[in-house]
Parts: sequence; C-alpha cells; structure tokens
Amino acid sequence: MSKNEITPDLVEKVAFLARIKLQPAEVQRYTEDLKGVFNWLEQLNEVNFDDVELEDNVPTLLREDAITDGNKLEDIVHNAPQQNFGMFSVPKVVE
Amino acid sequence: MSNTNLYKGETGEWEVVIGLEIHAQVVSKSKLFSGAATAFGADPNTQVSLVDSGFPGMLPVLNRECVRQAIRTGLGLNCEINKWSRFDRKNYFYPDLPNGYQISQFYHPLVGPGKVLVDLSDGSQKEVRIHHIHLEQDAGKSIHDLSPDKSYIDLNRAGVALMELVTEPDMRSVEEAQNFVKKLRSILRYLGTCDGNMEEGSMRCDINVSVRRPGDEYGTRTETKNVNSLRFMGQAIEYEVQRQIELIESGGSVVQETRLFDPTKGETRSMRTKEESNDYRYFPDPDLLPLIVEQAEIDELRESLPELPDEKVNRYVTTFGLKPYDAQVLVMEKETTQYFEAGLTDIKNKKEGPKLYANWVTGELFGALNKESLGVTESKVSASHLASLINLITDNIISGKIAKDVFGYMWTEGGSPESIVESKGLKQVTDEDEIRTIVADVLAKNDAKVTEYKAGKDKLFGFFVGQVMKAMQGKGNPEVVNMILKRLLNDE
Amino acid sequence: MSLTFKTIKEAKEGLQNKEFTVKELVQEHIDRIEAHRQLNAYVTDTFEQALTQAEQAQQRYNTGEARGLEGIPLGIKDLYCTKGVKTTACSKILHNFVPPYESTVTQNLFDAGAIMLGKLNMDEFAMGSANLYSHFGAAKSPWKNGEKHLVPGGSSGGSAGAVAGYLAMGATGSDTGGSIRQPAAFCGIVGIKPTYGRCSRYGMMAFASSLDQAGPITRSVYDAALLLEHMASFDAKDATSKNVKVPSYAANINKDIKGLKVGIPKEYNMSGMDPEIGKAWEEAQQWLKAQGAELVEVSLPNTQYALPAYYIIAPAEASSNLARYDGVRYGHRAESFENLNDMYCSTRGEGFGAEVKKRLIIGTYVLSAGHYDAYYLKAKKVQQLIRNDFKNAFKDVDVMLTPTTPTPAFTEGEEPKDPVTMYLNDVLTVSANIAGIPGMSVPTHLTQAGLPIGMQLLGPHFREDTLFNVGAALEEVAQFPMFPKQ
Repeated sequence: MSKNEITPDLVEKVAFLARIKLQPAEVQRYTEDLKGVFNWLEQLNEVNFDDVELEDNVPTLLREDAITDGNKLEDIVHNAPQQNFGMFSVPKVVE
Repeated sequence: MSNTNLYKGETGEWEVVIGLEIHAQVVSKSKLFSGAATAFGADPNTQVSLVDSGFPGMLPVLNRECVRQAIRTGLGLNCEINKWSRFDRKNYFYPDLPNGYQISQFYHPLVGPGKVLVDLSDGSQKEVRIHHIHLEQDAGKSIHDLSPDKSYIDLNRAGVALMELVTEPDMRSVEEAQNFVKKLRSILRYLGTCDGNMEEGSMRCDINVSVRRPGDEYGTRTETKNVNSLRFMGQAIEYEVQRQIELIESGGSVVQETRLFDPTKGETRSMRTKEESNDYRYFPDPDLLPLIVEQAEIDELRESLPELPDEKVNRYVTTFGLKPYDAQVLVMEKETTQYFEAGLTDIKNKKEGPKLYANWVTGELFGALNKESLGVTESKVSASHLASLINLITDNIISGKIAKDVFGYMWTEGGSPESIVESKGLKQVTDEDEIRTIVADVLAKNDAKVTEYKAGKDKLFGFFVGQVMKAMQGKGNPEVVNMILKRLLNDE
Repeated sequence: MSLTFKTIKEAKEGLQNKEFTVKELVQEHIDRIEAHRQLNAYVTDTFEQALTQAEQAQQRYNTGEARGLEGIPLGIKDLYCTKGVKTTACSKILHNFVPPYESTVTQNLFDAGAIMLGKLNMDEFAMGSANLYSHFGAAKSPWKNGEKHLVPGGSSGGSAGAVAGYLAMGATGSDTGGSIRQPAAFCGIVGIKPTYGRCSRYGMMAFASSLDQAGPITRSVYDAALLLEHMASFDAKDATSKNVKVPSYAANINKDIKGLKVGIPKEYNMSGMDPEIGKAWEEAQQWLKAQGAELVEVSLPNTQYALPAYYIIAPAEASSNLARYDGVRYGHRAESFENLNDMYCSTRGEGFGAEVKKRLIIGTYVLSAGHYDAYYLKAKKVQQLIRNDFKNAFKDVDVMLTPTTPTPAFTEGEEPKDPVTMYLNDVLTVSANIAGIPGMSVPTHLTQAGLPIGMQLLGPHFREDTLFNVGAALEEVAQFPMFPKQ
C-alpha cells in the first residue's frame, strides 16, 4: 500500500462504506492526512513476521441459558429520535 | 452414477447443481449473547435487552446452551467439532442490525465437515456433505406496511441464536434438495436443537443454483435468499434452472448475484445491491475471546445424543423386520416414532406384533389422521390402545378385518378395543363344535355347489368360506373355519 | 484551607474524625467548580444529586457504617454510562443521550459510597491526546506556561484537569493508548491503567474494545490504589473481564523496594525526547536505586512498532464499535435526508467531529476488502511480538521505569498540526495497552519552565500492587509540587 493510492475518490468511497457524509474541504483534508498516516504505517513492512504465532487461548466467558432480561420497552425506545407502535421509525426501506 | 434428472434445453441436456445454506434457529430460552427471551410472537421490542438493541457500552456474553446445541447438531450430522472457534463481526448498516455488525463465526466455525444420508423415493440414498456449521445472531425485523413512507423496526428477533449450516454443492435435483431439508429437519428435531418450524421462520434456506452440461465444470451460481418452505424451494430451483438455461442458450451468461424469491409469483428476482455494501469488513469480535470447548464436554454430549433417524431405521429393519421404506416413514417425524415406541412395549407378540403394529400406524392410523388433518400427537386413538388392538389380532381374539371395524369405533367413540369387542360382541369364534354346526348348515343349504366342488371345482372353496363367514358375521376364526370346511367337504 | 485540597485519604480521616461533614466537603467542591468554569472540566453537573447523597453518606458516618469511599466527591469521565444522567462521550451524536443503565465501574464506586459531582470533559469518544476534540469545547489544564493554559492531555483531559485543579478528589479515566497516563503526566498527578480485564468495560462506551481499560486519576498514589480497588471487579457481563481477586491495594503499600529489580528499557530512550525529561528519568532511576532497588537494562525490541500497530487496531475496532451511532435508536438524527442511506451519512457526518471521522475512515479502510492481511493481521502480529517482548523482559525484572511522555504539555494553539506528530504523544504509553499490562504515571519533576513531568511504571499482568508500591516510593522521594493550592 503506497500513499499514492490515497485519493479523494478513495476517501469518499471509504467514507460511504462508513456512512459518513464529507464536505469537499473534509475530503481534501482527510486525503492529505491519510497519505501521511499510511506513509508512516509503511514502517511495519520492516518487521519480520515469519515465525509469529498468534496466541489466542484465553477462553471467552459463557453464561447459563436463562431469561434474565427484556420487558423494558420504555428503556429501549425512549431515547429514539422517532418511534411509533413501540418500534423505531426510519425512512422507508425499499428492497 | 449418471443423473437421470436432467433438464432438456434447446441445445441439449443440462444438469442442475445445488448447494444450500440453511439458517436454523437454535432451541434455547434466551438469546445468543443476551438474557432476553426467544419465544415467537411477542409484542414488538418486548423481548429486547440493551445488548440486543446496541446501546453504548453494552457487551455480548455467549450462551453456553447455544454452544452445546450446535455441538449436538454437529455430532448428529457426523461432523467434526472444532475445539477452538471464534466470533467475527460482519459489518454493514441496516436498521434491523442495531450494532451495525452481525456477530458470526466467519473464519473459524464451531462445527467442521460432516455428512447427511438423504433418502430418495426410488429407495436409494444420496450422501450430501456438510461444509461447516457456525453460530450467529439473527437480525431484527423491518415492518414496511404500516406507513407509506416509513419502516418500523422490531428487535425481538435481534440476537436470537442461529446455526448456519452450509452444504457442499452435492445435490443434483429438486428432490435431492427437498429431501435433504426434510432429513435435516428430522434430525434437528430428534436432537431438539431446532424446532424446524419453517412457517415461523425457524428454518430458512438460501439456495445456490447453477447449471452445467453433464460432466462439465460448475457453472456460475446464483444465491436465492430466504426461502421458507419445501414447495417454494422446488419453485425457486425450477425457476432458476429454466432462467439460467434460457439465458445461456440465448447467448447470455449467468451473473453471480443474490436473488430474492417472490412466493406470490413463484419467481426469483435480482436484489441489485450496491457493490460497496458487500464489503463486510470481517474481523474478530474484540468483545469476545475464543470459544474453547473441552474434549470431555464433546464426549459427554455425544454420549447423551438420542437415537437418530438412520439408527432407528436400521433397528426397526433388523429387529422388527420392517421394510426400509416403512421404517423411514415411521421415523421421519419424531412424534410418529414416539407414538410407535410408546405402544411397542405393550405389544405381546414380540415376533409378529411389531411389524403388524407398524403397518397399522402407517396404514389405518395415518389414514384416519390425514382424513381429519391431525398430527399424530392429536390422535384420537392412543398408542397403548392401538397396541392392545394388535394384541387382540395376534391372540386370535379378532380377525384383522374385524379389527378395522374396532379401530373405527375406537376413533369415533373412544374406549379400549377390549371393551368395544366385548360390548359389540365382536369376539372371534374358535369353538369347533359351534363352527361345525354352522358349516354343516351352509353345506346343507348349498347342496348343488357341494356336488360341483366334489366333481373337481376347487375354486368353490372360497365361496363356502365366504358363506360361513357371512353366517358368522365375520367372527369365525379363519383357520378353524378352513379346517372344518375341508374336513366336511372331503367327508373326513 | 479549602477542603478541596485534601487527598482522599485525608478527607476520609477528616470525615471519620468529624472534623467536617460530607456536605461541607461536597459544597466546597461545587463552589470551586463554579469558580473555575474556565477550565471547562465538567460537561454535566449533578450537584443536586451529590448533595442528597452527601446527606446519606453523613448518616453512615454518624452510625459508623461508612464504606470505603463514603462521601468522597468524584468526577466521572463522560464515557461511563450513568443511569438517568446524560452521557455523551462528548460527541454531538450523543448530545441528548440519557442511559437507562449504570456502568459497572461507576456502580462499584457508588456502592462504596462515592459521590458523583458531574460528568467530565474528554476527547470525543476518547480519541485524542489534548482534549481539543470535544463537542463541548476544549478542557484546560490549571497549569499555565506564562499566561496561557496548558492542554490537559487526553483523552481523559477533563478528568486530569479537574483533579489537578481540585475540582474533584479523584476521577475515572479510560485508557486505550495512554488516555489516563498522558493527561496525568501533563497535569502533574497520578493515573493508572490497570491490566486489561481488571475493570469491567460494561457500560463504558467502547473506543477499541481490546485495548480500552478503566482506571483512576488522583493526586496521590495511595488514592489511586484506593479508587482502583473500588473500581475493579470481575464482571460476568463483560466476557473479557478476568476472575482474579482484587487485593487491598492501598493497605498493602509499604514502599519497601529493597532488592526489587527495576528494568530500564533501552528502546524508550528515543530521539525526539525532551532533554529535561531524559534527565528526570535518570534521576528517578537513581532515587529507586538509593532505596535499594536494582537497576537492570532490558530490551523491548519491537517498541517502535507499537504505535503504528495501535493506529491500525484501534481505528479498525472503533470503525465497528461506533457503527451503532446511526440515528435510529438514540442520539442525534439529521434533520433532512433523502433516504435511509442519506439519513445514515448525514447523521454521522454531522454527529461526529473531525478527528473521529478521520479515525473511522482509517479503520474502515484497513478492514476493507483486500487490506485485512496488510494491516489488521500485521498489526495483530506486531501485538504478539510486543507481548513476547514484555514476557521475556519480565522474566528478569519486577517492574519497568520509563518517562510517561516524550515531551511535557504544550499550550493550546501550539499543538502539532500533522496527525502523525500528534499521535507520537502516545509513543511511550501505547505498548502497555498493546500488551495488556498495567501502567501508572507518577508526577516527579517540573521543567525549568515549570511544566509537570511524569514517570511511567510498567508491571506484569495483574501486578498493580508492585506499581503502587514503587510509585509510592517514587512519590515520596520526588516531593512533586502539586498545582498551587489557591
């Protein structure tokens, strides 16, 4: 990955993937910033990863199968910007 | 083995290649990562915890029973169990996905390769390989028909545990695909790991379909999403096969894409999703550490598995002498086997009884149930009463023919077969003196026919039997009637 | 002298001895907060609630039922969800969010009798090193360079500013790459990031789940030990929480470090380090040696790769963790939009600040198709190498001593403008997060210009007790001049 691959188009594409609308000035600024950051990240290419084994052997916690939650409609919906019928309301989703 | 299920196109024959991805809801009280309930049909957002609705700072904690259910399923399908597995995040934005990611075992599933034997109508079996089974969360539900310009989000299903079972592309016909699902559903229900209720969405299929010339490499496949009945499965596959064949034969090519089945039209259509939205950016969920399963737990689960359909069929065939097909019919639904086995202990004649009993279950009982659209658990005749009826036959107290009448009374009026036989006077007559009197009477009344018989018209023997039985209202023991008739006709 | 100048230890003694009441203690804090609004430390006040709690706490003192932190007024970083009290992570996207639940850490503190004065300013979603990136404006350090306030550091800038400026007796912070230790060093106070899994993350708004850890910021090592033992717990609601007994950290401090092996990691002597900090580091080593500790040079060869790895792992996790802020269930939703995707994009475009957006774009990019192996996987391997480095080094030493930051605090407006230089603020602290080990900053020196300098102690997993002991020894020799009590 070279810093030259960071273009305003790419920044906009990735911003859409992250669902973030950017103003044109932001696109310019992030393009420059990201070039710097990704250039700096290049140094990881110096590292020799040949014999690196990822240790990942601490087991996750488990819980017993019991109904301990729910029945809190008010808590669930009271912060919602828009709600009706006990449900969250969003612009119509067309499939 | 050559495929006899080929499709004829304009330019020659085509073979369909089918692989399935089946989402089966895990039977558990609470969700995969939260303590909210999983029951079907609750009021919107009442079975939702702050974890399911993606509130800030809320964390998932894995439900041990869901893990055990997935392991049971894997063991029941002859799969390898991976002692080290992990949950990843599948990232995408959608209103019914509160966290903006689904937690799913993308890279390292809990259950590895296995296989299922599918029973086909011609009596043969087909092996379908399982690629893997992984655990994941279900999403919530978007409701589109309450408002012209808004969708509403109910998160009751969000976070419910699913097993996603992925097959190899091993199926070559609609029947193979449908019977695979039937067999799978049957096994999951035996295991108690999924209720298999397709109408309520407990089992949903994504179908990968491609066509090719027999013997060629795989063609480009399409994936049809969320098909929720066997009939729709058949329709979706047939539609895709015809569409793909026509497309290729008219010079086009199949595009690898996701399609949606429209049950009202019986058609599939392209979902035309944007390219970007398919970049799911999978990575290990940092809120969860690896799932590590001990061999002892796998062994314990293996030992506690119930007897599964294939094993039952074998046992029924070898110990009771059932035909494989009949045995398969008996074991397909867990409830049917439960009914069968509940009465089996009451069967007195251990040699002939079980087979006769099985025939009655798949014959008279199924007939009566189908007539009234009842499930076996709703049967008006209990397993022990049906077994008693079989005992009356094998004890020569009633004939098979009378037994059908008795069954009719049992079904409509209730009561034990013994009491019905008693009260209706249907008991079989075996007393030789009594029968001899009636036979003599019949022969006397049919003097001419006796003469013909004696002159060599052997076929008349059946006529005499019928007359005797008629005179006895069907209650004569056939063997005794035959014996006495022969004796008297031959002047012995 | 104002009661606000006391340490927690002193305040507890005063309350026990009936020298003053809880209400007086709380009221003096409230008055001081009101008088120092220019520090912009608090973004939400809970004074009324605090005064009510003060009366209950007083009752407990009166009846001899006082708990471990009874009546102690604290500030809570606005990253911790507090039931019924607005919690925003200092982001516009959560400007109106009122959680119907309490984080485990704050619940633990309240269960020990602590009183919340309000919610503290921070860098939005804990992304920042100077507290310049808050929806509610920058927090300031009470310390000045000439006429200008220093930045308090970040992301727990409000926490450090409040504690240094006597606007709270202690505060909660959170540390993903140095967000407790760096502001503690900048503000001349104590901050500890405990072992990953020591404190529950339940109810703490996530930045990078695998690195985030709660911890206290206080004016003394003893106070930090006391707060941590009441914050930490095993929590079945956090699958990464560890079931390890929480020791009585404060009571166990004896400052006896005779024979203790103190590692000096040679790679931490890096170019770009302020010479005054280098000098302070050497002096601190000699102080420990004079008290009987043995200095051992150790090597952590992959140190320089920790920060780049951090700037892959943390944004990657953040890009996913912050996807839930979509305007559907809570928080900000854009006023106008054309369709669902536009609602998402506008809501998030308006709701997040510049630094958060930048990191979300970085994180989204490194996880996007075709880049996982080049970035995320590589960063995880660097993490493994760094863990191995520490594991090896801790075979030979009990604790390590390093500076907390390569430079002292800068004044507002003089911050580095390019992101990479700004990120270098975390270069000495980030390894502890990458390795999951505990790290503590203790103030030891002032520069000639009068700016605080902090030393960092690093220990093996779950050896916070060692850090407190060595830290207290260091604190005693250093006799660091706290911010003037005026």
